[in-house]
Amino acid sequence: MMKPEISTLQTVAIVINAITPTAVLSVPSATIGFASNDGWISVLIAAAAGVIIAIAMAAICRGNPGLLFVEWIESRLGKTAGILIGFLFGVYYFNAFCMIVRQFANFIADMVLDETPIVMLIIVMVAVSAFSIAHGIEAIARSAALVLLMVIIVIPISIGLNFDDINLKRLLPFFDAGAARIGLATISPILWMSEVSILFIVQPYMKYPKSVMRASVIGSVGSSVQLLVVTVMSVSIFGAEVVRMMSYPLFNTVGIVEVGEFLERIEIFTVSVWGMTMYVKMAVFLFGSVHCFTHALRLKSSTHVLFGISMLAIVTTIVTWPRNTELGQFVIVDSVPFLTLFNLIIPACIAIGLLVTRGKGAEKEAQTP
Amino acid sequence: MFNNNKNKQTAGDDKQTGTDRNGQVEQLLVPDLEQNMERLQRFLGDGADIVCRMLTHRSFPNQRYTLFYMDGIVDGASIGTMLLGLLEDANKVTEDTEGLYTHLIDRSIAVGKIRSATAIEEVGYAMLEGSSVILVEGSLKAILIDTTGGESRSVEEPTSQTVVRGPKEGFTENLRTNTALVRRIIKSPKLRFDYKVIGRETRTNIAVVYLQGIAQDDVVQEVHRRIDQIEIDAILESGYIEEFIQDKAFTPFPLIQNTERPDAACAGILEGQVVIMVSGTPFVLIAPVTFVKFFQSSEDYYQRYDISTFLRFIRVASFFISMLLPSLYIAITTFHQEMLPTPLLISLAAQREGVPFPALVEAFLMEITFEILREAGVRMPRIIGPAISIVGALVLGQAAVQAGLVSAAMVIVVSFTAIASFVIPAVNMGSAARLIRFALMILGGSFGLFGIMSGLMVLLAHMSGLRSFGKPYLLPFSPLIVSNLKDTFIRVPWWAMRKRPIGMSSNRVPNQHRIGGGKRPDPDQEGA
Repeated sequence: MMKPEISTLQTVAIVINAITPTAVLSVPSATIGFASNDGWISVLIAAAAGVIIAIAMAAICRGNPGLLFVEWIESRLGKTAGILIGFLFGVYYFNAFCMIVRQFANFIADMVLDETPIVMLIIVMVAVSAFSIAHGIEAIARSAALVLLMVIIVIPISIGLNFDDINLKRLLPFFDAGAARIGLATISPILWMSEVSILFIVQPYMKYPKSVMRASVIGSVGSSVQLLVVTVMSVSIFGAEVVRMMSYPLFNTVGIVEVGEFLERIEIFTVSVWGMTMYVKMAVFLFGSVHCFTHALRLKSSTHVLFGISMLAIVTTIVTWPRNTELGQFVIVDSVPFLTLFNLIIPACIAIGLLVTRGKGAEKEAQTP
Repeated sequence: MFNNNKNKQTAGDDKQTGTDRNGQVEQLLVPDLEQNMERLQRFLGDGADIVCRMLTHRSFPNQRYTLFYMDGIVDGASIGTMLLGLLEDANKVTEDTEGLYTHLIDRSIAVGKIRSATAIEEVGYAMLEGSSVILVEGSLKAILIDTTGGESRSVEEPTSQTVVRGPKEGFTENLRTNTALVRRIIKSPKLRFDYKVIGRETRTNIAVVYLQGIAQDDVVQEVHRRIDQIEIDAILESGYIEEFIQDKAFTPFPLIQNTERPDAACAGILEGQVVIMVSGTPFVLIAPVTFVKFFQSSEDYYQRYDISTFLRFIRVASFFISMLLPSLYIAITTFHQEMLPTPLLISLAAQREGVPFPALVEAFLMEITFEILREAGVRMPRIIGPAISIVGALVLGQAAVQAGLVSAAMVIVVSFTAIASFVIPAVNMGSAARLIRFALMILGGSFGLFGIMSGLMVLLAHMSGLRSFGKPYLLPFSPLIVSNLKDTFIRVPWWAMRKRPIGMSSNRVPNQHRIGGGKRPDPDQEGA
């Protein structure tokens, strides 16, 4: 069978779609909540940090001679470490997937389908994600690229439609919140930006693996731009005080648009495009989970793993957060150590491990004809 | 041209049998003419359409020979010419060693293409394909003369892909006519026709047509490999082949294009695609193909680029309308009424007041009714067409609304959907939209716009995973090939399309250039 190949542009799309869909939901509230009208400064600082993280991740990935993630770790850090890290990443992506599904399901239930049982929404979401995975990483990558194209079309249209309501004076005065609060507000976006670690899984499938640095940095910057646009628009349209009370500021900004006197409530189209980015994100994380479990546990059929994990994800998503407020708590508070551990600490450990075993890697590469 | 038959007679026991290249036992010809004739007639089933004429040559009075052919599938003129040549043969035998068999081949038969055969089966199958056969007494070889012909439809205007401007010729059921139509357009020595025979019973002739150096070698090989793997008793239409050789069996989307227009087939060949012609059908297959190709018509290249681009957008919009409109109507009226302007909402509510069904059931009723009408329109005798139109338009449309079974808005939605579905140039892509429509209606009726979005995501993932002979289906959008975007949903002027589409045609650089010194027309500059 042909090895799947992902272009650099598709990798950028995967990175952006792995970061922004959930980030645009929580980042504006979090940053504006701490830094008020200086939230955008926090996002800018987070963007700079995000680029540094992206460079670091890509630098680690470039050490991979073309092996799949778990195989690579095994070859450098030993079998036990490979299985352990693979398993841990499998658990991470599984948990993250469940969290994303629940966030999306809650959103749909809150905003649109308040009478539909949330179980049904969760089943549909997991089924669609699993269906995408069944077509392979190439199909996900191509879908991601097309969805990114839609996002690129929707963003300027949204800004254009909201142009009359944007009042940039609401961003003033600068640095009003103080350095401490601005710094505190950067934590949430930085953690979302650290999800660029998905490159560990994706990079071995790249057509040009050496361009991982470019994909990583462009993806990180692209995500930051989206977060910045949403934050600036939210504050400049509603003012920081109002945004603090909103659950989904992004959709409130497009919700106020009225074209002429006949077209209103067109946020549904923005929601639809955002929903597609959510689906891509879910597919990417589910793929990560299936990939890590399959290779760490040396399972022969990824299709069976996919089916099993999907079933488990449906149950987990339903029972882990019996009430929606618990999910909110999880996303804002509990996800901090969760994301820090898997996107920053473990990659740092991997980097240290790779540095220590550098000689071993060079030896193996030399042996390869 | 003669083919030296390599059949080997089985050693020992039975001198009258041998094996062919596939290892099948076959009956070899024997010196006894009567026995050969009997065996041949037995092989062919003694049909009334078998013509057998025993003749004697004036120079070989003691050696008889027999002419066999199947009436109706041979060209009458060729038979006449041949018979005349045989009967009026005034050539004197010059050498003693020359036998009747050699004399007939070298001096008597005035038909271009002849070959020899040594087995009854080979002779019989050649006759079934329209060849005439001469069996010579005392000879272990038969002479096969290509006299294929018979009644066939003449070249007419295609019925399924009509154009206002452009060639009016269409392919016919005759393979030779079809190859000639392509040859007349592409007069290149690089044009290749690879012939095959498929179907145990029908022995259908197939031609794989491509331009050597322009088509990708691996694609051509893959086409051959897939066709060679087909094992079936009958091929009656190119659709049989299509289902065997497409990359994915379970998909609503067509992965191979078909056309009955020679110009469309040639355009494909010139872009590096491979055309598969099947004897007995005017529809030829074109592969590999991408999603956008189904929205392009040959006429787009004959008329101005601006109107072509506009029409392509209309077609794409029609595809999405055909697929999505009923489901959007259901979703919005059931779940998202707030999206509608108040006056429209009130009007719709008033119309739906007396309708006893939910919007989903109402839409299903109307869509199924339309599909039945459409199928009836295709199958019924043409003479009763107007009756169906009246019944469809008046009884099922107007009366259903008046009876309160469906709302007027739903009739408008279904009608508009139906009209939009006819805009798509490729019928098979229109059929895909028809099937997907029903699935999306259920999703829209169950989960509103979220359901439709989920359905579209499924379609996107599915289409992203599709390939046509190894080429990604969503090319050139994903993976993105910027230079190929010139001829997708837009068409730039001819002088701007300098290269053939990358990825579809051969990578060899000199072959990629479509337009040599062609530049944007600028008379002022030329005059300066």
